[in-house]
Amino acid sequence: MSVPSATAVPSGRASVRRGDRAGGAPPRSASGNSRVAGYLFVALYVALLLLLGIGPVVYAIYLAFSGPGGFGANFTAAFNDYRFLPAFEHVLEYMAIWLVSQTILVVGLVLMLHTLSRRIGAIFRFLFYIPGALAGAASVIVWLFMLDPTASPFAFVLHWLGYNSFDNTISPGNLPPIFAMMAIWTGAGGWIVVMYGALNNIPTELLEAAEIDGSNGFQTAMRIKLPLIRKWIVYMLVLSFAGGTQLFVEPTVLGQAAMGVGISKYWSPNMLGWFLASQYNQFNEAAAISLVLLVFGLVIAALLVWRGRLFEVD
Amino acid sequence: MLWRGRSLRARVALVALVALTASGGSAVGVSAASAKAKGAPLVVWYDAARAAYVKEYQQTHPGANIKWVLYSGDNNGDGTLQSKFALYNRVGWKAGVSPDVVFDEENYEAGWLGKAPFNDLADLSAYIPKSVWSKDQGLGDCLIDGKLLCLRNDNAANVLWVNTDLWHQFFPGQNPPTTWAQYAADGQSLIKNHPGYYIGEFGQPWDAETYLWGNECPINQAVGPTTLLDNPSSPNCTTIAHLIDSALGAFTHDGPFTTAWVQNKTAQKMVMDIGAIWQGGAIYPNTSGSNGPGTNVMEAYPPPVATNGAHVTGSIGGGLWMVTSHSTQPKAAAALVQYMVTSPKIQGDPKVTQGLPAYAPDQDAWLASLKGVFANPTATIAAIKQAAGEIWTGWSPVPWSVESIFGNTVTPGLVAGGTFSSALTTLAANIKSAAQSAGWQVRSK
Repeated sequence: MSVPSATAVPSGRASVRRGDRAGGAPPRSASGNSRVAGYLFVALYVALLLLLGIGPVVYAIYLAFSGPGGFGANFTAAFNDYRFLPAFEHVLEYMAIWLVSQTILVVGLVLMLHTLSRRIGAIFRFLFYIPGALAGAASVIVWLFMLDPTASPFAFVLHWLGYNSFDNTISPGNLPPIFAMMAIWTGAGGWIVVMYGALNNIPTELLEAAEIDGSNGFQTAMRIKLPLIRKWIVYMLVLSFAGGTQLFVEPTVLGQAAMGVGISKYWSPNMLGWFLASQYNQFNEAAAISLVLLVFGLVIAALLVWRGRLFEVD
Repeated sequence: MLWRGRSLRARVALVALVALTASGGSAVGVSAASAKAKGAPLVVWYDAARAAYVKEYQQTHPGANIKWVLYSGDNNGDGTLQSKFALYNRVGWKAGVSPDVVFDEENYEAGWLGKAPFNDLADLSAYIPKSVWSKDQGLGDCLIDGKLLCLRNDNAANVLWVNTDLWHQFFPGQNPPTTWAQYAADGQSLIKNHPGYYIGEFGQPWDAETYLWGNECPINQAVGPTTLLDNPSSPNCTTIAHLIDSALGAFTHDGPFTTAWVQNKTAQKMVMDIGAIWQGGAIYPNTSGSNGPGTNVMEAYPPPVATNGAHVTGSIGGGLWMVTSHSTQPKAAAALVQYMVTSPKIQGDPKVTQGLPAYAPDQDAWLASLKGVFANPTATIAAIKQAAGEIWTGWSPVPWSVESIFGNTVTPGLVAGGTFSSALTTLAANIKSAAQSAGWQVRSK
C-alpha cells in the first residue's frame, strides 16, 4: 500500500507560497521547461504503468477469453472449481474484519492524536508508522514468532487464549483475523500519517469557531473533523479493498512455514490463480480468476467513490 | 520431502531466502556422463543436501561440461519445479539454460511433472539398462504408465523406531509390537500408566504416508493413467483409523521439526515411532537442535504387519533424479543420473549421502556405518533392510499433493480434538476433488 505523501494536504505556509506565485506570472521559458520536465517525470511512470500494469491486464484479458475451451469456458471452469468459493469466502471474511477494524482504529487514533501537542503527536505517528516499514514477507516472519507459543514474547497471551502450539494458533478459523492483524499492523501507521495531514488541513478558524460556539473535543471530532476527512477515509477504503482482495504473500509464507499444516496453497483467490497457472499450467483459468478479482475490485471502488462522493469538488 | 530436519527458525530462514542460487560450472566430458565439452553444458539442478554429491562428481569427473544450479529441491512441495517447468513450457526450453537433470525432494512428483499437462520427463529406460534400474528400490514412485520417469536416490521406507531404554522401563519382558493392534494396545497402556509418553506423532502432513500407505489403504491408488481408486470405506483404511483413534492420546501432534518438539524434548518422550529410515538419525540425536535421547538408545524394528496380514510399509520422502524430456543430451543426462544413484563413492559413503541408498548394491556399505550409531546394530540393520524391500506400490505418485491435502484437512480437525476416523471421509473427498480437477476419473471400488 503506497500512500502518496505529496497529496497529503498542503500546509498553511504552502498556501501562502502558492498565493505569491499566482500574483506574478512566471517567465514563459520557465513554464515551458517545467512542462517538459513534467512530461519527463510522468513518462517514466506511464512507461512502467504500460509495461507492468496495463500490459499484463490486456494479456490476462486475452488469456481469460482464449484457450481450448472457447469463449467463457475459463470462467465456467473457475466458477466450478471446488477451491473458488472457499478462496473468496476466506478473503471476504478477512476483509470484513480488516477494513472495519482498520477504519475504526485509524480514525479513532488520528482524532485522538490530533488533540495532543504537536511533539507528542509526532512521536506517536512515528511509532505507529514503524511496522509499515516492513515489507509483507518480513512482517509475516515477525508474526511467525509472535504466533508460536513456544517462541513468542506474548506466549502467555496465546496460552491464555488456549493456544499451546503453532498449529493450534493458526487453525483455519483463526486465519482471517490473523491476516487482518498483520495488515493493520503494517498498514495502519501509514494511514494515520495521511489522515493526520488531512486533519491539519482543516482551517484553524473553523475549529476556533466551533470552540467559541461551545463544542467540546468529542463534538468537534465527530461533527467537524470527521466529516471533513470523509474523503480520505473513502480513499483509504478504496485502496485497501483493492490490495486486500489480492492477498497472497501472508498466507503463502505462513503456509510454507507451517509446512502445509492448515493453510492450503489456494487459500485466497490470488493464490488459487497462481496455483492453477504455476502448478497445473492452467494459465487461462488463472487469468479468468484474476479478471474476476479485477472486476470485483473495480465495482467496489466505483461504489465507494460514488457513495463517498470522492471526486466531487466542495 | 527428503529431509525435514529444521527448526522454526531454520524454516523461517528458508522461507526468507528465495533459494535459487546458481553455482559455477566446470568443464569437459567424461566417460560416465559424456556431456559435450563443446556446446551447451548439461544443466543440473540439485538441492543443498546434494552438494556433497556434486563435489564428489566434480572430483571424479574433472572437466565435465556441467552447469550446476542449486535450488530449493522443491522442499516440502514448495512448487518450484512446477512453476519453473510451466514457464519453460510457455517460453520454450533452451539447451544450456533450462534443466536437463533435476533432483527433487518430493517423492510423488515424477507423477506430476511426467504426466499431463506437463509431460516434461524423459523415459530413462531407454538409456539406463534394466539390470541397473531394477536394483533401485522404491520405484513405485518412478515407474509410471509403463515408463521409468525417475530413479530413486534413497530408500525412505518406514520402520518402527523404538527407544530401548523407555521400552524396557515401561514394557518389561515384552517385545515391541509387530501388528497395528498391538501397537494401539501399547498406546492405550501408555495413556493409562505413563501419560505424557508417546507411541508416535500424528497430525503432520506426511502421516498419510505413515499410517495409510503403511496399511495398504486404497485412497490414493492409480489404477489407470488417469484413473484413481479412492476408497476410504476399505477396511484397510477404516481399521487403521479406528486403531489410531483408540490410542489418540498416545500421539503427539507436534511435528519433529518444530520448536515445540525441541523445546518440550518430545523426542525423549517417544517410546516408539513409526518413521522413515532417515528419521532415526535426524530426530533422535541428543544435540541441541534435536533434544533427543541419543541415537544409541534407538533400535529399528520391522514396521507393523498390515491389518490385512500383508508385510508392507509406507515411505516418507526420499529424493528422485529425473531427466527432462526437452534435454538435447538425454544420454549424458541419464548417465549422470545413473552415476549419482549407483556410485559407491556417493551412495556407499555415509559422509556423502544421508539416507539409505535406494540402489540395493550400495546398501551394505552404507548400513555398515550404522554400527555404533544405533542400539543393537545387527537387528537394526536387518529391520531396515527388510522394510526397504516392503514399500507398498499401491500408493501412487500423482499430480496433487496428498501431504498438502492431509495437512489442510486432517490436521486442523485433530488439533481441534477430532478423530482420524471422522477426518478420513473428508480427506478422501478432498483427494477426489483434487484428482477430478486435475482431469482424473475417480472411482471408489
